[in-house]
Amino acid sequence: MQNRSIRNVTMLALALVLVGTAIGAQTLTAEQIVRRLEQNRTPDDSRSEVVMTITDRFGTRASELIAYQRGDDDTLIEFTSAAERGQKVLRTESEIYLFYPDAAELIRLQGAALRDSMVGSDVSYEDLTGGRSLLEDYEVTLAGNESIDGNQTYIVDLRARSRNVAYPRQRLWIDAELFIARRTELSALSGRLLKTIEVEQIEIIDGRPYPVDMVIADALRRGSSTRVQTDRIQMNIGVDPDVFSLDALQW
Amino acid sequence: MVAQRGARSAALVAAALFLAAAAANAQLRQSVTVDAGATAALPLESEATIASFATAELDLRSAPDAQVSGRLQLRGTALDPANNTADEDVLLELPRAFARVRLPVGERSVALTAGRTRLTWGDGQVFNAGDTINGARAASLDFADQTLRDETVWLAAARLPLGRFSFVEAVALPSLSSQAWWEQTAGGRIQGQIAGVKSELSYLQRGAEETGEAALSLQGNLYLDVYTATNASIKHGEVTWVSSAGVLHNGRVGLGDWSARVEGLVDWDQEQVLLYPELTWSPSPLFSVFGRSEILLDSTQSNSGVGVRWDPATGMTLSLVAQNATAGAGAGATPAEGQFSITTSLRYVF
Repeated sequence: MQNRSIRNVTMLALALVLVGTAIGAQTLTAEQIVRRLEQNRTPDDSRSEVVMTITDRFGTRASELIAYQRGDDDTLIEFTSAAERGQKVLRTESEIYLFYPDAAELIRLQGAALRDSMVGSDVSYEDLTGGRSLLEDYEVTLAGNESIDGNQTYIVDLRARSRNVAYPRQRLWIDAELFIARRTELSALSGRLLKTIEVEQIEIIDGRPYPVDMVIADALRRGSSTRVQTDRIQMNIGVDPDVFSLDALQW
Repeated sequence: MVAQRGARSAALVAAALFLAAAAANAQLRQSVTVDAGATAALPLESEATIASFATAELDLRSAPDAQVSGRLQLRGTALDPANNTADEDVLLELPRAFARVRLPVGERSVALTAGRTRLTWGDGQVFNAGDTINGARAASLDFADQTLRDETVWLAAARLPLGRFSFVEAVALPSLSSQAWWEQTAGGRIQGQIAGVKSELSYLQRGAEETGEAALSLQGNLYLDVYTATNASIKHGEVTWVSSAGVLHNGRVGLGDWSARVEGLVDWDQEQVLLYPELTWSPSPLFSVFGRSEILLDSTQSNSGVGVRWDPATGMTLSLVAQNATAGAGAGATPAEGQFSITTSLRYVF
């Protein structure tokens, strides 16, 4: 009898803790959650060494690259794997420059080309950089909570305020402790799923959670996925602004 | 002649071996490309033949460095003894051998390049009137090649950035057969953006040919990516004009990505118009189907190719390309005139 009472008290306490946690988790608004997410999203600048592996029904291709990023708009990618060595991509706010070293060809793309797939991966040029603040471009609502691999997340729905975005609808599963998206669904205005991003591994780098292993799948490409693994990243190291220039692209 | 070639080949092999040995200790990034395959030629008026080919390429590059860089590329091609008119069965080439350094000039730095490499002015994959160094059109086009234009030259160049998207560049193309300074080839270009349009003005003086070439190249976006160039060649007071233009657009259809490009070249004096349409469809980033053609308008001359390319594993490419050249096809088209051919190859980069 006494054992049963102890068990009941323990169950009640546990339930209270869980309810308390849930209530605590709900105290943040969707805007506050997204703001916390954005604080973690883009460092001032970074240099990372990445392995990108594309897999689909036709085979597998791995590419190694070094990526430099500055602010929300500038990215320079240099491929270092043998098959694509020396190929570079410079992404600025409104343009893409591609440099092919053997042809010494510098191709400038604008407009709709920003939404193209980067070197055949499931990542578009537009995905390379953070772009403007999510809160500027989207209305956000909290859709609930869910546990992913034992990690509590907030489910936040984003709906575009204008047509000037690549993905009019987004659903983010944001880690309730780390404030980083563990899962993302990117959709068209009609609700049709365009892309999913699953974060497989997160590491704390310079006090900031960073997705060092993630899988991006383009829903419009059957059976296709791109795994992006970051081997090394340095943040806020003062990357030379000249790195994001035509001179560096052709070096 | 044969002795000279032999000595040159031996020197190239020695240089390659030296650099390959040095690579073990130095900060070098090396890669090897092996390309092997066979071409079945099906002439209209004679028997079909099959010729195999093999190419190996050693590419040595210095480790990434913001101040200095260098590259050496050595290519060996095994020639088919049955169809070989050269003196040797193995052809050795040195397509690239250059060093590059950045030197401070005030608050800026100038990038100096010396050696053999490719330098492209203007815009255009096949036709480019702004490319006064390599020519407005290729001497030959092989649609089985992944890189359609790969001409390289010995040069010395200096590039000074004026901003993120603008620079001036001076170039000299030393002639080994001409001693006098006025017989050398030299010029320069300035590139920048004017109202969002990439604009380039260039001039190249070919001393030995007593010819000056001025070119204006423009590139912008009018929903589609568009580029154009016009070249004025001046010799003894006479001016001849060549213009080129191109349109490039990528998109997606239900079953994959596609890329369409159309280029044109107009030789105003010869009243000749060439077109180059190209369409690529990729149901996967690892598999693509393409069709290309070089067409001389107002004639029956054309060089066309369709092919498939498959990358089943990292660094490996399998390709199958069928080409057809009508009688009198220009630009040194491959295959030979009036011939249909099928080329299959396996390329591995490691």
